Amino acid sequence: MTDPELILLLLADARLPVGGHTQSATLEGALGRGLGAADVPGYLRTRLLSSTRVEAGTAVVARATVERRGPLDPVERAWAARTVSPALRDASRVQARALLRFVRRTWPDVARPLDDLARPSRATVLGAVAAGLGLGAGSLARLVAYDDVQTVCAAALKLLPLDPVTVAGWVVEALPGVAEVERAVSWAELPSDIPACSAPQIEAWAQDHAATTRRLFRA
Amino acid sequence: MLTSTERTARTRVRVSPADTGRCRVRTTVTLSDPTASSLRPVLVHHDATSARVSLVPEGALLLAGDRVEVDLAVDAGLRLDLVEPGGTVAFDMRGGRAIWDVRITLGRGAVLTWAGEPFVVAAGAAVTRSTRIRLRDGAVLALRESLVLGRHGEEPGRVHQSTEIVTGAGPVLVEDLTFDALTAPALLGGHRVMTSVLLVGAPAPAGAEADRYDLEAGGTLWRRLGVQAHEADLTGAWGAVRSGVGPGEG
Repeated sequence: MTDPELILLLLADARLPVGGHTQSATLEGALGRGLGAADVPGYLRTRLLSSTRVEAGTAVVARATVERRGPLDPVERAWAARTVSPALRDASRVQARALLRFVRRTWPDVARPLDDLARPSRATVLGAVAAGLGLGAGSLARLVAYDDVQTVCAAALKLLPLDPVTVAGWVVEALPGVAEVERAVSWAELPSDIPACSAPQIEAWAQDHAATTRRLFRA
Repeated sequence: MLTSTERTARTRVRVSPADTGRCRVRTTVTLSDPTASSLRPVLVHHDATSARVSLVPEGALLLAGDRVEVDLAVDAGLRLDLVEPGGTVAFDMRGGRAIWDVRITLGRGAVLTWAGEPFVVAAGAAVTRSTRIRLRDGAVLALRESLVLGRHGEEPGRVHQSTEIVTGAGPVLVEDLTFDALTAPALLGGHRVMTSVLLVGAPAPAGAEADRYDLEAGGTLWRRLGVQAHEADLTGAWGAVRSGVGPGEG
């Protein structure tokens, strides 16, 4: 088996053709509603305290579920009940489709536990992939949280006139928050363990953004 | 955890069938000590299949050490409409805290509408609010809530609000929100009022598209954030939802 650390690098790499460039983690919607460049670091912190924990927790529980050969449907339902915004659920599933295409072609066996789900969320797919490729719960939680930070920051560079070095500094400042997400969710095993700490404002922005036609990012 | 100064007031309402021409509405209030403030259920109206109850606060609510429990059950095919005469203020608890616990069971085809009034979490308050609702097949829930963080011109108090709505098919809505002076501005984008209308078990009424979140497992949430109460107003959605589930009585 490939060293899980290399798998982690692969999955965290934005050059993987899984549609990461179509996502702003709702930053575009937030900027359209009055958030400014100076607010981006705070936006990162808010996400790491709220919606990202739901995503990371779901991935960790999906991983544990596949490891004990349980059904993923209850995990997916638990995620959906914690994600009230249809726009966010849809964005997650569109990304999941791209990821699943890559996984099915590359590691068909790894994708098999997902066969019963019509439209799995990205978190569920990542969890199943982590289980199949030997990635631990802590690494998986870190991956989800780190990816969220990089998604916001990469989008910020397209949406705002910022110095890339400044933005990379924001990523570094957010890393302790990434580690906190790991601590908060990596113990989770059952669907009921998934955090339900959403951010109502982010959900509202995501809904508004999905209804606009002029946008750079899908979500 | 609360200390031994905790005062518990448990309010129970159960609507069940009877062959007397009117459904039976049993209400009890249990106090852990005579000084506990409570919500007194006042039966406003009842007929063969439905009842209307007003939850009237007795004593000063909500103070440090208060534990308010509301336990509601509506049996199959019956209906309960709940109203409140006014909002609730959770006052400065000076290091103490309070608990507000709601548990609801709706039988097959039962209907509950609850027109909640604003719940204000004043600066210094620390409240744990939990709402657990179980719906059997065909049951309908229409719930209005408004959370206000801080009275006019003051910082938010701390509130941990957990909600779990479950049907036979699984969870419909699970939320665990913690707001305080530090997190509220970010989680609510600078707003301090969050109003919501939740409808489960019935299709969303036409014409209430704004602020609407279609939940995955069926059910619809309308949610609106505002700096002032009127900006978070969902009167239109609530009206449409109420008409959709029938007018009720009274």
